[in-house]
Amino acid sequence: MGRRLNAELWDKMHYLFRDFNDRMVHLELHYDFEIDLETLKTVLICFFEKAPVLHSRFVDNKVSPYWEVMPYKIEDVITVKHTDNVEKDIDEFLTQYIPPESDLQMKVGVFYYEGKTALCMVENHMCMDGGDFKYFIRSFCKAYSDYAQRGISPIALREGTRSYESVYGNFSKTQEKMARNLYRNVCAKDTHSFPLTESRADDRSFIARRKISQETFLKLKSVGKAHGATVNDMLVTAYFYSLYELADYGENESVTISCAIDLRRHMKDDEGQGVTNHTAFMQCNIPRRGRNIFETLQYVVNSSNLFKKDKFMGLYGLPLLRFAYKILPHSASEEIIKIGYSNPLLAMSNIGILDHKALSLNGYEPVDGFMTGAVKYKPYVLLSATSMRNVITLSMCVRGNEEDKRIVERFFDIFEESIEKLIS
Amino acid sequence: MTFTDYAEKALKKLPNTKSAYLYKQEVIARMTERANELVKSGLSDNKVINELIIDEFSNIEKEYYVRLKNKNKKKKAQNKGTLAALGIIGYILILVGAFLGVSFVTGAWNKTWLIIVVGILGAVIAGLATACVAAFAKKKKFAIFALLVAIPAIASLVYVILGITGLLSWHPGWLIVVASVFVDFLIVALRIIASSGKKDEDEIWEDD
Repeated sequence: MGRRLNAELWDKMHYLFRDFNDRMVHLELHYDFEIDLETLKTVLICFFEKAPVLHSRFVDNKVSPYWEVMPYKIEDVITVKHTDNVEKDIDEFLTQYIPPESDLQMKVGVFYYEGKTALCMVENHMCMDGGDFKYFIRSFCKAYSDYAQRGISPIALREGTRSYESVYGNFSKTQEKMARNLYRNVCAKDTHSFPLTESRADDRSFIARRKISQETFLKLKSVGKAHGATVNDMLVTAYFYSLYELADYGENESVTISCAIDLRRHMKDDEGQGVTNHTAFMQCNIPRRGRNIFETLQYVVNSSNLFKKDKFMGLYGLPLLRFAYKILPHSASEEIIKIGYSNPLLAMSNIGILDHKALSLNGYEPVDGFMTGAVKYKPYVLLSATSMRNVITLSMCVRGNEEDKRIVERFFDIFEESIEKLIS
Repeated sequence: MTFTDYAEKALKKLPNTKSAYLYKQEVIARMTERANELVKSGLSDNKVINELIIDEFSNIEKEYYVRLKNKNKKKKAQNKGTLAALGIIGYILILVGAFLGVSFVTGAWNKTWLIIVVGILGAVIAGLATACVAAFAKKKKFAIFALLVAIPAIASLVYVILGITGLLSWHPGWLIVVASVFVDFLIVALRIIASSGKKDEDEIWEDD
């Protein structure tokens, strides 16, 4: 039997989410050179050894689940292909599903085309969230460059605890005690949903994406500043405004979108931290659509500022989850949590900036790239956003059909129109 | 640097004992096994393999002392367990000896069996009381629950002892047990009052 690793609270929660999404986090980066495969393999193996959860299988024994570290061959991790149809191959790679019982929790795709490389990664959200995946790929790229250029062994990846309790590390004793007593169920109860079709047997995973140009992004920033709003507030506003039109909500209906927040805001530093999940949701609610998009923006800013004032933002509910997992066997905990947990129908994850400088490989910066969250099962949706070189890539991963693809594309069209209204 | 060189260097402060020597050999064997695993995974750069493994085994000196401490802890626990077992056997022998001695001297076999019963029940009471005191002394989180269980348990046992020995009539002696349940309720009520007082303190802190 292999070495065992703890199944942490968020590992178990993302496992529970298997009813709502496929748990995969996706990354795509494009480089204008051909990546050296041997260098990539060396770095990848070292990083897999530093984060052994990536080559572990999840054992759900119904009482106390755990990860079991498994032996692996790097050839099973990496898919290499010289391709004439890079988009099709990338799409096929990115929409794959890795079962939690698999010996490997991350797959890497290297697609060579026209003297360039598309580097793709798919990993199990149970291992790490977008925040740590960004750290992982930044460290990976630095390690690749250092190894290729100076022969430095690629072993610089943080190791340590994956426990959710690290979020309390920067609190005083009193604050920590208060935070650990936040026994509150903070789930979204809103029944407004994205107007996708009913689930069918022929539904397939797809990743729809739309780019917002650099020019638009910079205008969005400056308009946001004038209104006391962040880029995230602007995107959430466009999301709300577009939804009312697409889904035909009543103008005076109150709608809630669950926005992902990185709980690392509560941590002073990441020393002694292994790659893990520290993401919760905050409920951004607007009372009505508003007479125009700027009124919607004001509602969003008000809602967002309310959360930002709370020094325990995102920490509600953690003690309740811990209690449920501690006192009951795992299968019973899952059933109890499912009774109280309401998965948000509408969600947003602003994963943030993919720093093209930090993602350079041996001096070659990526020319394009994005990261996106899990493929959601209908009726749930998640709008993800990343930016690179001031170009925003919006993405929505859905398990659906051709009609759903058209609906998502229509949503993006309306979203772009909303953005234009904001910056005009 | 070979794994042997690294182990020698990292563990040079260890005492010159058999256990230290065996530990060193074990570490070298584990490092070699890890290297073979990495090669099987597909890693071919020996320099990287070495550095990765040395990084993995960077705390071997500390690990040795932790292991030694755990070994001593285990030995102490085993000794404690042995002493406890001997103590229990010794106590039972004393009880049986007392029972037989008093019985042969007095001939009152129909009464002297009480020595054994009272002796065993008394030991259980002492055990419960000791566990409670230890829980409070070590400030265990759920010491209060130990107390709430121990009080009626001890009261019941005392009632049985006093009833059997004829020092207390069965009725209304059973009131001891009922009284102990009331004591439990009183303790819970006092605890709740004490906690709500503390909650006000936290609210004041939040206002600040």
